Amino acid sequence: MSLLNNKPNEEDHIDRISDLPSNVIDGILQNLDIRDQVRTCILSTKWRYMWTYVPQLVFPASFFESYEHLDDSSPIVSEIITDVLMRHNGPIYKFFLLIVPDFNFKITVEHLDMWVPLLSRRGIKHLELVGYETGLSHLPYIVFSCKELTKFKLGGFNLSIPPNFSGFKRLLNLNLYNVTFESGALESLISGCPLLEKISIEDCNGFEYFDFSAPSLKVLLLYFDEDVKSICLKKANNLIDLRLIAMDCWVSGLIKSLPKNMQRFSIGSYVLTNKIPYADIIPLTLVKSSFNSIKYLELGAVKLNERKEILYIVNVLKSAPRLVELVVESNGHVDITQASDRSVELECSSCCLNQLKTVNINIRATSHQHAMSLIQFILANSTSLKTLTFNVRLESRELDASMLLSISQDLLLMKRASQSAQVKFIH
Amino acid sequence: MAQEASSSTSSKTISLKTGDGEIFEIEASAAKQMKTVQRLIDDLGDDITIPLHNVFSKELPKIIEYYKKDITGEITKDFEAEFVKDLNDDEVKVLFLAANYLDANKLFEFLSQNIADRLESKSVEYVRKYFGVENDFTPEEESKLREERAWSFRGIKEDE
Repeated sequence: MSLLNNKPNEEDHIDRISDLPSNVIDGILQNLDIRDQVRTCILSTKWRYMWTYVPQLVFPASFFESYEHLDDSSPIVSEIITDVLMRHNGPIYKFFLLIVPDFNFKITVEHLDMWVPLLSRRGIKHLELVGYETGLSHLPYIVFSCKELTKFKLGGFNLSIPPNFSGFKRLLNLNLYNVTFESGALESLISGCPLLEKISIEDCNGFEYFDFSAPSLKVLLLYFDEDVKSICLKKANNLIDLRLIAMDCWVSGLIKSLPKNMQRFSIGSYVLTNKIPYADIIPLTLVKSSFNSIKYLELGAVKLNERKEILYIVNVLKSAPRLVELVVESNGHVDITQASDRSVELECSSCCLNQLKTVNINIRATSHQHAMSLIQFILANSTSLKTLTFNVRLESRELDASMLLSISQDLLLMKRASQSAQVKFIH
Repeated sequence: MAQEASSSTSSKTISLKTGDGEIFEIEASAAKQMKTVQRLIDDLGDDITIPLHNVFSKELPKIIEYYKKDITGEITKDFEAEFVKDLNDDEVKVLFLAANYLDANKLFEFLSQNIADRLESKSVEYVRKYFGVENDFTPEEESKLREERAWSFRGIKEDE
């Protein structure tokens, strides 16, 4: 009880930000834009060097944008970055150069040879070098000497791995955008990073297969082009979140294996036409052995006007007993003559979709018949369903008011296993 | 003020008394997130009204609102945006200093980011006032620094 009298808090109370301990002030400083951060040097003599101890230097897009009007911004921009780095004291944990697209400043080998050794000595952990140049620079090997990296984002470079690469042993997060890999580079990179938990590969080329040992990997986002012929993920035992997006047409037999414990799986495509059926990309045998733990499933570019594809989806649903949320998208233009096909009769097995709560079906107007069969199947078998949203995008005048009305009526009449299910029809 | 009589610890509420004498209730699990409060509870017991001399009735309800949402695990970017939407810069500063005093880490970090966003491109005078800083540079020192760091003085907005 004597503590009531000896209250330390009274004296500790601080009512000016400037009187706060410097590690607390750092909390604000490190979130400031680099110009605001450096400008604090002028606040007072006490503040003159405070900014130099903030372990974070972020040069965002807006910094580079402000020099866009110059014909050649290279000298002044690199001078500023060099000056900031030279004046900085203490560790640097975060360093970002986020260059805007179409900007006339390119991160060159000379720049990186100057800046990276300093960053490496100061213990850099989170490094982002993002450029959008189409004539890619080769990433200098000096970057591979940053042993403390935990997060690395790279954009707009040619990547090859030095022969003496000992790996980024602490790397958790790898984000590659617009990178061209020299032969074997991607594989060498990933196998040198045993702790990797999250990989994102977007708009990259130079690899034909993805079959890498990544024992700690939890999240994988992979955009792939038609050069990629095979994806094998059975070694990724910890992978729970997988997103695959095809930038071109995909190849038959693309997916050779999937992780066993996936919880989130999303697959889609930018290509609207000529997509081969899902059964040729992810065979049902594979679905049966890997969809057991899936809670969230998103299937894009589905050919909902084809009977086989609908049957495939039904089989997928039967193999995913833990599914909670489902999204099905069909964005392709569909051959109108197909639409008159008799809609598929789907067998209602007993309550196979016990956990399914939310469903989103997004289609173009012409494939609605088979979609209705799918919806009927889902409604009849989902005992926990809360919301089903059927979003039909109209093209020209395919659907008139009477058709919309008949769809609405059909939806209302469908038998529902879940009393509280709400069906939303958006058009 | 009567406390909720409850035998289960999960719904136990703690009474907090502000510097201007008002009393507010929070759940014990929310109090845990404010380390200063938790320390006081450990010292004084959880049946006593905990005095917070340096937090006032204007800001404490807002802090309680944040941690109420936190214990349900629902703090989203949208919630945080709404939370600060109608606050002016000084109100955010008061909350920030209170969060520092209460050792309420999550709120503190969120407000650090929010303050940094609000200070973007603000003039030197504005920032001095905001941080409570007296300028002790000579005019010569100041103009030399401005010249050396000219690049960082571009694009400053006028004070309103």
